[in-house]
Amino acid sequence: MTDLVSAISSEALPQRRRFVLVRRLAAHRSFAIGFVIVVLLIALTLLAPILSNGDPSAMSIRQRFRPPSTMHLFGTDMYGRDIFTRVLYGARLSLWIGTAVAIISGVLGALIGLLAGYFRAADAVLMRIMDALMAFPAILLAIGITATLGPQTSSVIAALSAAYLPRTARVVRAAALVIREQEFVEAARISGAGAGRIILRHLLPNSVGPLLVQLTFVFAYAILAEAALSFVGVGPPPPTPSWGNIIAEGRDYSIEAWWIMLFPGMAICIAALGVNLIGDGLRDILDPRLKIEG
Amino acid sequence: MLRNATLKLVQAVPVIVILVVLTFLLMQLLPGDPAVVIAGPEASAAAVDAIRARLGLDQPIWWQLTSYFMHLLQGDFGTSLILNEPVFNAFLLRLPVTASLALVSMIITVPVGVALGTLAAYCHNRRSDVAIMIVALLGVSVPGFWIGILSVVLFSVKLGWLPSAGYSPLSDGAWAWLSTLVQPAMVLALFQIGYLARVTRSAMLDVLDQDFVRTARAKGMSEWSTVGKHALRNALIQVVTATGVILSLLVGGAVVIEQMFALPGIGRFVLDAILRRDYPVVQGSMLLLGIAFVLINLIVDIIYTWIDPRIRYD
Repeated sequence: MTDLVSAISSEALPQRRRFVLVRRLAAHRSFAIGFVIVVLLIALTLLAPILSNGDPSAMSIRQRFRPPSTMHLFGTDMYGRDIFTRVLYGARLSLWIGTAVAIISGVLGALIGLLAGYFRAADAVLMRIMDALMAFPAILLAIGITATLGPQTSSVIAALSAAYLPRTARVVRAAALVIREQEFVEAARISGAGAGRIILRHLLPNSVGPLLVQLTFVFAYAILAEAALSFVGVGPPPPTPSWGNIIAEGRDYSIEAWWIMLFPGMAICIAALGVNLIGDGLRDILDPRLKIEG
Repeated sequence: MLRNATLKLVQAVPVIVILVVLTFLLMQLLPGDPAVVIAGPEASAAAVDAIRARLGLDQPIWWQLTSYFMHLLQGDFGTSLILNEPVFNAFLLRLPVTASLALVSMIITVPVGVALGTLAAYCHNRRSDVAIMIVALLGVSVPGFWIGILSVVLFSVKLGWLPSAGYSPLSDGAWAWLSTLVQPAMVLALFQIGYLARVTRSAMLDVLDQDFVRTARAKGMSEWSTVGKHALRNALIQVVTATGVILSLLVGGAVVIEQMFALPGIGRFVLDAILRRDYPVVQGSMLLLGIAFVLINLIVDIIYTWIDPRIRYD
């Protein structure tokens, strides 16, 4: 009986329906554009050693402040470092931080959201903690935590995960609250399924859609937030090329050597735009009722 | 409505208690001995001991937390290590700057964001909808500090229209005040406008689809009052929620933008404190901001029940 119920409700989608999902995503204009942008970005970062001179920190006194040319596609900075190379390696850092933040806040957010959505007692405690975390402006909380832990990539990841965790937990909880009231969950409970089984086999698979949508937006926020953190000087320390600190370094030369700050900024826009487009597409298809959440 | 308000107020109390604990824990995240980190790398052993005694770091942790609570209950939000000034006073002194920035930014954001979102929903899937949504998407994808630099190059350096940095208080004249704020406020508004337009559009799409809108049109009501009065009023709930989120985004953004435009507000105050390891200021200001946002959300919740009496909390 239990098997029958779960087979109907949440067992893996049959092969054909999966393809339908892929086809609908491919047909969705913003998803398709975003997907192409992100795949291109990933390809560029993977090919960075081949496409660029391979060393984002290589200095050259003679090549200082060179404007964009075929030699230096994006020009060079005050130390003669190639901006194109730095932007490509900066992309690695940004995408890595975005991925790590999405995974960590996704896993913890799912855990907290599911527990809060299923157990009423846990709900009161966990969601009050999330409310408190959410009371701090996200960037401010992230700057505070990163500066406290010390300026490293891992601190940035931990800080941004903490800052976006409450939003993720809220989305999963909201989905879980709706699903737990549905008849098939009631049926599972009557046929003897325990809390663990209901959470894992019913609540989790059915909240994956909204969670995924939320996580793509978290990814985009994380890219923007990391750049802001690096810009104010609490991100990964300067020799590491990060979009934010390339812009910070180029700021003093924004008139004479505009290329130093222009290109990393455009890179941030393109990356955030690509991820946001994917998020919009996923939202339309996976969860049409979901509203954009901050 | 009164019952709802009281209920929400009671729920806010534990959140504020947790906020206090979280800001307390922030300092515990400091790697190694907090006194050594705060005193800085060149400090003498005596200076480290002085900091340790001053912040009570030589006490057991439960006692530190208790005394933190006791001081807060007496309205003592700590004392800055560098300014030697109570954090609360220093915070209040800088509040008008950030409040002015937020106000000007909100005045730009809300009408533009709501108008764009409504227009996009009204022209659903037509060319103007797509164009507006592309603009809104760019708004939420562009880093504010980068646009800030570009804007300073254009409006301050090339055209010389607006000051590139600094702040002039309202008491020195409204025009000077506004001219120092317009540029940073516009830069901040870009992201918020994009966000608000997206939220408004999706809320309006839901509403425009409903029966009462069709009825309003069918009985010959003008498009202007159907969309502007009936539909927008119903979409307002989500716009109000978004406004709460936007205020939070604004203050977060202000940390970076105030630094950039040399505005002596809360954001710059906290950032400077973080960079100088002035932890009492970081703790105290974050707590004050956290409490402010709990109260703002409380007000938003109460406004809900006023806009839409169908909402009941339990």
